[in-house]
Amino acid sequence: MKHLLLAASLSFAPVALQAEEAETRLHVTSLTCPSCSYIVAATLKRIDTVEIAEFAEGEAEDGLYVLHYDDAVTNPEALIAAVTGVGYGASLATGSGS
Amino acid sequence: MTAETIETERRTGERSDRSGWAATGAGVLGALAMTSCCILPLVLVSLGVTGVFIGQLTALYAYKWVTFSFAAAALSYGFWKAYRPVPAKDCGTGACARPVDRDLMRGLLWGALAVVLLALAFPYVAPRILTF
Repeated sequence: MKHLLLAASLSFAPVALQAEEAETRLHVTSLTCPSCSYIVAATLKRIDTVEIAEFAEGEAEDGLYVLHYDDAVTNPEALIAAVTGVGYGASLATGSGS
Repeated sequence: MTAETIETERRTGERSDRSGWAATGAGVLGALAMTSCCILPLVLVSLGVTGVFIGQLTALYAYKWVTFSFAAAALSYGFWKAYRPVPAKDCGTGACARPVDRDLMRGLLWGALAVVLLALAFPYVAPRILTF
């Protein structure tokens, strides 16, 4: 019985150690061309654990990315830096949080 | 036919050959300029290349009709040069003796045309083939 309890507790241990999934909403500007939103998406997805849950195209050559990621791996500042690193403007959208 | 006439024809033929190659080069450059937005930056990012110049390249999309006009004019002139029949009297200039040159020119022109058409179709095709 002791062994069974030990095995059960060990099997749940990794789940307990996992970091929380965070969500960030990024407002990206200068999306001037048809491939720009895909270029930004490809750049963001190169960051470990980042997934694009939603993308909404704006009317002023901008867009809103809703991103899910592991907050133990990356953070909103790194996401913004990745986007600005390929020449687009990025900021946290109102209502973002992690 | 005097030696002077033959020499004049040879020079005319060479000039014509050069203008054909110049048009081909301009057509290829125009095709590359058309891919600068939006295919080239997407390919570069997919390959892991990063840098602010990616965003600057895509900003060239605003000038797509300028690059298209340049490419179309150069390709039209190049195709005319590459496919017009060479008059028999010009064969003395060597135009008939170098069919390989013309084949290469035609190949480059068709390749450039394919790239231009791909660049034109890209905005309509992208949402169907690319995903977030």
